[in-house]
Formats: sequence, C-alpha cells, structure tokens
Amino acid sequence: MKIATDRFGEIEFKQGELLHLPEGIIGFPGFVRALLLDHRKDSPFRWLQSADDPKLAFVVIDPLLMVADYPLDKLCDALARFGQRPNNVAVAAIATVPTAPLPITVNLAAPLAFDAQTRRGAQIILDNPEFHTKHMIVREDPPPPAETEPPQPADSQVP
Amino acid sequence: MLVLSRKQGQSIVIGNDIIISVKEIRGKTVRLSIKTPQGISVYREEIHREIAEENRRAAAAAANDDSRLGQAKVRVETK
Repeated sequence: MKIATDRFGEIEFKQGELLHLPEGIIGFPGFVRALLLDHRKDSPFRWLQSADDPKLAFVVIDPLLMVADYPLDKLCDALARFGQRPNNVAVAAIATVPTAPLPITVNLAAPLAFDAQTRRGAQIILDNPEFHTKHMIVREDPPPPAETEPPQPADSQVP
Repeated sequence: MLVLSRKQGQSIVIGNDIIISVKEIRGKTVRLSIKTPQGISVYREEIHREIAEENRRAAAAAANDDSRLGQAKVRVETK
C-alpha cells in the first residue's frame, strides 16, 4: 500500500504495519489509521503519521524513557474496552515541539496505548495528577555550528 | 438542546444503553453515575478539552519545520 505524506513524501507499507485508533485521537476523530516512523537512528523521537491525512503527523516518544514506572496496567485495563485485555501494551506519548525558545514538552497525561498483538489502540486519559500534559523532560544541546562555506568573491572566475 | 430536571436517585437514558443517574446533591455539587456500554469513554469536560488543546498544539507544532528535532541533540532526563 502507498500513501502520500507532506513530511515524508510517498510511503510504501504493508497493511500489517498500520496502527488502528478506532476512536481517533482526542480532538482528531479522523485520526484512525497511522504509521509509526523513526525520526532518525539516534533520536528518542518517532513520528506517528496519519495514513488518511497527508498533512497530519505527531511527534511521539516512549514515556518509559522518562518514567520507569509508568502505569502500563492502567493502560491495559483501558484497552480492555476493545473486547480483550492486551497481554502486551505498546505506548507512545505525544510530544509538542514548538519553536524555540519554548520548551519541548511531552503529554504524559494522555498517552497513546496499543495492544501489541492487534495493533489497535486509543488515547487514554490517565486522570492522575502525577502526570501532566506539558511534562518537561528534555534537555537540548545547542545545534552544531552550521557548516558555512567561505564567502566567494562575487566576480572571481574559477579556472 | 434538551434541558431536564432530575431529583436525587432519578436517571436519564440516552439511546438504549447509556444511563446517567443523580447519586447525590450536596450544595453546588452533583454526583452522577454514568453507565455506558463497552467502548464508550466518559471524561470530565475540562480534562477532555485540555487534552484536545494539547493535541492541537502538538499537531500544529509538528506541521512546522522540524529542524529543532533534527539539529539539537535532545536528551531525555529521567526522574
């Protein structure tokens, strides 16, 4: 299967790679089929690209990287509403990456949880004051200096 | 929009399988019990709105230039 996306161009994928969110994402009821894509090899971030809206993608991150005892049990309980309590749950928290200097934050209050077997999931509101929608968890090192080419004389002739 | 008056202990039924009952009225607070079929989520409105707004912020930010994610070395700080 193929989809066109704004950010990644045309993506080819197998049906089995799709993640399903039958209820959509809160505020985005049409976000029902998605693909999880790597950002880059050494990055903790990934992208959840809508398979139906080429423009729509979320930056996501594994909340267990920040909170080792994130309540996976609660997420499994919540996913039982699809008929079966999953044995394995996959979880992704949505990150908000605004323009600097605003901080990068992660929504730990309402993660996306998926049954790892059926690949079906939902955005689950944890309703726990310990977890916030704007969790600040990351530290940024400044970007490496841009590699600028030495300015060339405007009217020099390269032999 | 339908506006109904209910007393403590009384209920309303939405569709065939959603039942909202008034459990208790104390001062300005009403305690409701909500019975829904499997698969229907119930949220406090203000929490639902907060999550929807954060999702919209995240989507809008993600639609912008991602150079910040690409260039900066982002380290996750554990608690």
